[in-house]
Amino acid sequence: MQNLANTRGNAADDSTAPLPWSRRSRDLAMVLWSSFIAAALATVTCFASLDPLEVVGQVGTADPVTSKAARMTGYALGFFFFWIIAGISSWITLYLVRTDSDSS
Amino acid sequence: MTVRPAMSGNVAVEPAYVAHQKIYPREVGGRFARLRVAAVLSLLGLYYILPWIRWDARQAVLFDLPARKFYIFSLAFWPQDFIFLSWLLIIAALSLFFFTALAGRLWCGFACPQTVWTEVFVWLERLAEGKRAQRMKLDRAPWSAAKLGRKTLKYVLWTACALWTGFTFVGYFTPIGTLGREILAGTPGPWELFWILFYGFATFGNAGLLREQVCKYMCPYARFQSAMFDRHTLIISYDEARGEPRGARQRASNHRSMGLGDCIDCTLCVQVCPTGIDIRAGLQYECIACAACIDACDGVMDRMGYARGLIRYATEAGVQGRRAKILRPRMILYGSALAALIVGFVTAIALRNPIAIDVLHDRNGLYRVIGNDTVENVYLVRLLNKDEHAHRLALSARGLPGLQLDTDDPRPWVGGGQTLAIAVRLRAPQSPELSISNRVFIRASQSDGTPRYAESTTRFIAPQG
Repeated sequence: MQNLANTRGNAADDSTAPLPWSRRSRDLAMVLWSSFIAAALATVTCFASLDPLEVVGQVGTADPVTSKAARMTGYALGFFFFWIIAGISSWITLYLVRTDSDSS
Repeated sequence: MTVRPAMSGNVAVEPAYVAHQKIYPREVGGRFARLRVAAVLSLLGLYYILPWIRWDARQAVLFDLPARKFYIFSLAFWPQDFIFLSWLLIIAALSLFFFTALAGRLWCGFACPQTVWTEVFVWLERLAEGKRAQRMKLDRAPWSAAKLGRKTLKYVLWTACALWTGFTFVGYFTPIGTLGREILAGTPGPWELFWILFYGFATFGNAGLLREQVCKYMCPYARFQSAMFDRHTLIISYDEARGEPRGARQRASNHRSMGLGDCIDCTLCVQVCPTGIDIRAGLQYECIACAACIDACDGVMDRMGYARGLIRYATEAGVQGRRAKILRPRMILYGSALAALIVGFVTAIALRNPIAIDVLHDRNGLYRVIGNDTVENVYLVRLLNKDEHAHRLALSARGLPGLQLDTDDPRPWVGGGQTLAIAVRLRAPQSPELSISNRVFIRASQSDGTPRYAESTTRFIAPQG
């Protein structure tokens, strides 16, 4: 039991391998993650009402194999499109907050 | 790693950021650890097993994006059912409010995918590198064959788990049996392969490498959950009045006479914390409410012969010695709204009309006059059968005197989960009642089983006069 009370100090020994989490990495993580969530939401709501095949005017004309591939491509491109747009928005917001002279 | 100033140049340089220190969570046993293991096993079991369950001749749970249909056991959802998805999201959000107001970050500690997969990756790490002290020793040790072997084993286990997770994830969208055969044959679709790797990479990065930093730096819920707290929310609290002043002592000693509180300052609560905080400093936003510190402290209290609960789930009011109020207006409001939404959701699904009809007026000709006295309009009718069984649908039209419906098969069978597009001709006799554009209805009535119908309104165009 005595050694239980003497384990104090171990917490301080934990610092063996510091990971490089600079302000820039944190900024990047925040921007990527918040825009990822927004892009996922946008993708779901967008493609629930919009068939990617409609965008290229192929509904009912393409054969099942082609239309499957075309839809998969449409969803993926749509998702990355939203991610990029939301990422730009997040980054601009972050930049404005960081460079605001009023903020502490 | 040198610490860079925030944004060079035009802004005040923020205080230097403390470089991240790797956290070695200590393993812990106890009530809450058992609860979390149960949660992890049931949630992951559900996740990994669900795609393999069959229902009739198909996968029980399949979000068939290429075909734009969602299957959940006997139910099939179409893009037209998007309202149910939004409804479900509202229920999920309100549940989060409810449980956060009730007992803080239950979600974070027991159900969040970040917690669940981190738990698994920590298990795998422990399997390869041993317990906390062994892991710390291994990291400090110089590189050797044994160290390389253990590290390699860890990364192989992590990679395998991450890839299987990615494969399972894609298996919710592409029939998992077919996907598995395609991968074994080396011919998976390019997007399937991409998403397996993408999701696998995300799992590996989030659960293996980032861990608590996702909660600390990236999670928005961690930042705004405090807005849902009040004085009566159950949170993990350190009983300062009982614990302080903290200090080491012999077990046999009478610590009261030494002027000490119940906290023996063993720092086990800090060592077990996956986010590396000291709960004794009060509630912090890094706390994911995993309750590992409660388990650790209860164990110490048992061994010291003190009462449990120096760290416990308590309300702010409770710790201050006032009466805890679990049932309060906020809880009743959230609870009743949640119950109403869930009841409504289940009812709406149960009463959902599996038959739908879409009518499109033919674009090539607005109308045609047959003989001298009959006007004909042509439509493309799309019949949807969202039920899993085939149904026979009888077509009829109303809205004008003498209106008649003509089609090649007026009582077609529509297969379960199928659509059928047919050309339909409506005819009406020329009469003074007929204006240029008339509102008419085309109805599809189910003629087998439960009587129900779906109706769509459209325009019937006639020549002037």
